[in-house]
Amino acid sequence: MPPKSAPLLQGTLDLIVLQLLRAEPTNGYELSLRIQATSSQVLAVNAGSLYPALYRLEEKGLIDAEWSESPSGRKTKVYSVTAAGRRYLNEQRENWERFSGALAAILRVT
Amino acid sequence: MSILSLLYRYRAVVRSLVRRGSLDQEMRAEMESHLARATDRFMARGLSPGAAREAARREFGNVAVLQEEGRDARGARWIESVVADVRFAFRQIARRPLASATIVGVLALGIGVHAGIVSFYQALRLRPAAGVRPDPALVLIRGKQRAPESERWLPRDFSYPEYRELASRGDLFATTTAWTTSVVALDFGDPERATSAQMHFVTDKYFETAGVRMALGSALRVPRRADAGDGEMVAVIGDAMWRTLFGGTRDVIGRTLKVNDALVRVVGVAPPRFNGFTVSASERTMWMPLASRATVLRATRRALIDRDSALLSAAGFVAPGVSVNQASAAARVVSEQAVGRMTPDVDRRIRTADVVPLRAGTELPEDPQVLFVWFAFSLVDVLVLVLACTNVSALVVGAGMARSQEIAVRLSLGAARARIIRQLLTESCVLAVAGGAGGLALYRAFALIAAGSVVGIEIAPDFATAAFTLVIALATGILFGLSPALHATKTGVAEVLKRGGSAGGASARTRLQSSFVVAQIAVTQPLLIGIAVMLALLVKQDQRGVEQSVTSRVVQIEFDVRKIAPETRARLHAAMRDLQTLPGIENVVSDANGRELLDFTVSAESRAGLIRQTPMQVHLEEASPGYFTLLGLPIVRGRDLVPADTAARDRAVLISTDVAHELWGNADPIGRRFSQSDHGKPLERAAVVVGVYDASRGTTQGPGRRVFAIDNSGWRDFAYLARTTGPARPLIRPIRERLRKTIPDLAVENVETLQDAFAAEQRTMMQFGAGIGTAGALVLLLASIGLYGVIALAVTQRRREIGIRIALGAKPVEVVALLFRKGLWLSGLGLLIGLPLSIACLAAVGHVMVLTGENGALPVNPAAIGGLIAITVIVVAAVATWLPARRAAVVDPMIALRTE
Repeated sequence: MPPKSAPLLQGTLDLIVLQLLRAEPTNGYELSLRIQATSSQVLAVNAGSLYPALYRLEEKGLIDAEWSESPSGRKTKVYSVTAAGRRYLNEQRENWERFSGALAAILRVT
Repeated sequence: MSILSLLYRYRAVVRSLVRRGSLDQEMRAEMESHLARATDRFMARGLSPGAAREAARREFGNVAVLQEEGRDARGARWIESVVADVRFAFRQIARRPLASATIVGVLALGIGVHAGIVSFYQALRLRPAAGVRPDPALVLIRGKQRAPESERWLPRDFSYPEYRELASRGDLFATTTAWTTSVVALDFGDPERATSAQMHFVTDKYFETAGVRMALGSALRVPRRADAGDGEMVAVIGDAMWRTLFGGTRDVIGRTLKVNDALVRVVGVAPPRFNGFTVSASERTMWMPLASRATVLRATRRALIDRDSALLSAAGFVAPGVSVNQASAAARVVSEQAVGRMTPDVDRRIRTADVVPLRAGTELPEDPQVLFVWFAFSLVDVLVLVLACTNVSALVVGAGMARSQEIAVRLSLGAARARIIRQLLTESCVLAVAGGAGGLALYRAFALIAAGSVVGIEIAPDFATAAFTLVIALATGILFGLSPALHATKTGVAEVLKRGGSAGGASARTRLQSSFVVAQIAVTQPLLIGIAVMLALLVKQDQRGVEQSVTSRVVQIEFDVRKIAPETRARLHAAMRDLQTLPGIENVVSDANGRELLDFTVSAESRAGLIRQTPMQVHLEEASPGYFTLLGLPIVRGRDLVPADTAARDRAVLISTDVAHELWGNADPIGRRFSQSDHGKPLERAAVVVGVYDASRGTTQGPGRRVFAIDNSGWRDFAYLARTTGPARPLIRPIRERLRKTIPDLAVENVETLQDAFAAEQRTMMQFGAGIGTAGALVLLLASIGLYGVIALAVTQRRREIGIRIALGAKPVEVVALLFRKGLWLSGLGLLIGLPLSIACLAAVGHVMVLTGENGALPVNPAAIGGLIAITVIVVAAVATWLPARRAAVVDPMIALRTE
C-alpha cells in the first residue's frame, strides 16, 4: 500500500505534467509511473485522470503528441512540451515559488 | 493567449472536426495500452491475470468517465452533440415530409424576397456598373455644382485641362481615366440597317481602370494627350452591338464602319455586359479615343483646350495608402483652383469636385428620396421575413413539430431544458437553412430570367449575397423556432402528461397566432388593392390606343438627339418638309410631346353654364397643325390649330370632348377663355379654346387632362409622325433612305409603324403586369398559408374538445363547420381592419397618379375592385381553412379521450 497520500492541489497536475515532460518526452503510462515515483507516492493521482489533463494541455497548445513505437514494439503516444508550454511553465513556476515563499514566511512567523 | 496557442487551439478544433472518429479511437487505444501495461506490471508482481487486470483498472479509475472527460477536454463534445442534434432534426423533419416541405417553401419565399432586395442593394450601392471589375480603390472623380442659394448638388462635367490637373496628382490617384459620351449615327450602306450608337470617347487607361479585357481583338491604343493632334479612327464595339449588328462573327475585327459619315475601323470587341463606367441600357455601345471626337462629331478641337468646356466624367484608382476621403478633400482643392481659372460665370455657380467609391448608383443629386426608397424596401424585407416567421411558427406548432408530449416525457426523464430547446432550435435552423438555400435558388432563377431585362447592373447573387442570406436564414430559424421551443418546454410536465399533450397553455398561444393572421390579412388587402389598381391602369392604358386602321398607316420617326443646336433644328425641320414630298407620304407632323403642367382657371366672362369649379390641372402639350387629322381624330367643334396661332395674343388651345363636357356640359366651349398659371405663378397670356377634338378615339400619348397648343418655340421635339396613303410598313425603307440623304449626320433612333410601336409598348406593359400579378399572388399565398397554420394548430390543440363533441353526438360536418367559421371570422376581421388601410392606399395611388400626370381620377371603380379582392381573400381563406379543418372530422373520440 502506498503511504498516506495528500489530495492534489487544484491546477497543480498541469504543472507537474509539464515539468516532467520538459525533463523528458514520454507516453502517458510512463508519466503516471514517474509522477508516483518522483512524488514518493505522496500525491494521489488516479492514473487515468492524467489523460484528460494531457488532452487539455494538448488542446491549449502547451504540449504536443506524436505516435511512435516503443522498444517493446507497442505503439504509444509520446508527449513533449512545446515552446508555449515552456513559457507557461516558467510563469507558473515563478508564481508558485512566490506563493509558497510567502506562505512559508507566514507559517514561520506565526 | 499567444498567437501560437490560438493557432494550436484552432488546429485542435479543426482536427476534432475532421478526425472526430479517429481521435476517439486514438484515445481509447491509448487508454487500453495503459491498462495493458499496468496489467503486465501487476502480473510481474505475481498477481493472476484476472486480479492484475482488476488492480490495473482500480489504479486507472472509471474508464468511461475518463473518456468523457477526455472528450470534454478536447473540445470535441459540442461538435458531437451538434452532429447528433442535426441527425435527430433530419429524422424529425423526414417524419413529416409535407409539413416540412410547406415550411421550407414559405421560408424560401420570404428569404427569396430578402435575397432579391439584398442583391439589388448590392448591385446599386455596393458594386460598380455591370462588367466593371470591383476594387476597393476604384473611385468616381465627380464634378459637381450648385447655385449659391441651393443646397442641391448637380453633376458637372470636367474640362480637359481640369481633368489633366486632377490626373497629374500621382500622389492621390494611381490611375485615372476620363470619357465623354455622344450619340452617333451608324451607316452600313443599307438604310434599313441605319441606326445609332452610344459612343464613349475615352482617354488612355480606360479599359485598364475598368478591369476589362477585350473579348476579341485588341484594346484601343489611346495617346496620353488627347489634345495633341487628331486621334486614330479606330473603335472598340460592345458585345451586344457585335451580336445584333454583326451576328457575332470573329471577322468583325478590321471591318470599317461609317460613323457620322466618318470611316472607323473596328479593332476590338468588349466583353459581355460591359457598357462603360455608368449604368447604361444601351444596346449599341462603342469606344473611340477622345482625340478622334472632333473628327467624328465634326466639332472643333477647341473643346479639348477650352477651360470653360464641360465634357468629361472621370474615374480612377486612389493611390496606395490614400483613403477615399483624403483623395476627395485634395481633389476638391485641385478642382477649385482649376475652376478659378475659368471665365467668370454670370450665374456664379459653385463648382467643385469630390471623390466617391465607384458604384452603379453614385449619381448626383443624392436624393433623400433614394434613401427613403431603400428604407421602404428594407421595411418590406423585414415585414415579409416576419410574416414568414410567424406563419412558419404556426406551422411548426400546428404540425406537432414542437411535440409537447414527447418533450414532457423527456423532461420528466431528466433531460435538461436548455438541451431540448437547443435541439428544437437545431430543427428549426435546419429547416431555415433549407429554406434559405431554396430562397437563394428561387432568386437565382429570377436573376437568370431577368438578366436580359435588367441591364447595366449585376443582380446575380454572389458569395456575399449567399453569406448574408445564410445569416438571415439562421436568424429566421432561431426567430421562428424559439417561441414554439420555449412554449413546448415551459409547461408543467405533469400537466402536459395528464392532458395527453393536447392543450398545454394553448389558448394564449392561439390568440397570438390568430392576431398575427388577422394582421396579415389586414395588410394583404391594401397591397392587393394597390396591385389590382395598377393592373387595371395598365389594361386601361392599353385600350386607349388609336384605331388600328390608323396606326398601320402612320410611321413614327424618332431621333436620338438630346441637345440640339438651332441650326440643326432648322435642318431637321427642312428634312421633314422634304419628307412630305416622298411618294406615298401624305403629311408629316411633329409628335405631340413636351408636357407642361399648368393650372387653368376659367376666366370670369366664360363662366356662364360652368359645371365644374376651376382651377384644374392640365397638361399643355405641343401639337402641330394637322396632328389630329393625321391620327384620324376628328375636330368635332371649332377648328384645328394653324401656324398663325403662334403669333396670336392669346394661346389658341384645342381641348378634348372630355374636358369640354366636364366644364360646360353640352354648351359650346369655343371662344371660352382660361387664365393660366404655372405652379401658382400666373402667366401673362390667356388661353382661348379654338376647337374640340373627339377624345373617345384616343391619342398617341398617355392619359390625363390634356390641352394642345402650338408652341412659340417652334418644333422643339425630335419625334415625328408621317401619315401614309397606303400601308405604312413598306415606306420605312424609303423614309430612311431619304433621311440619309438629307441629314446623314443626325442619328435616327427609330423608324417604325405606330402599330408596331404600340405593340412593343403593350408587350412591356404585359411583362410589367405579369410581374405585379405574381407579387400579388405571392402575398395572397403567404397570408393563406398563415391561415392554414392557425387552423391546423387549432385542430391539434382542440383534439380533446373535438373528441368530446363527437363522443356527445356532434356530427363531423358540424365540427368542421365550427373550425371553418373560425377561419372565416378571422379573415373577415382582417378584411374589416384592412379597410381604412385600403382607403389610404387608394388615396396614395390617386396622389401618385396626379404626380405622374394622371388627372387623379381612378380609371376603375374602387368599390368593385375592393369587393373583388374581398371575395378573393375570402375564397382563398375558405380553402386554406377547409384543408386543415377537414382533419378534425377524422378525430377518433376514443383516442382523443383515452388519456383522460
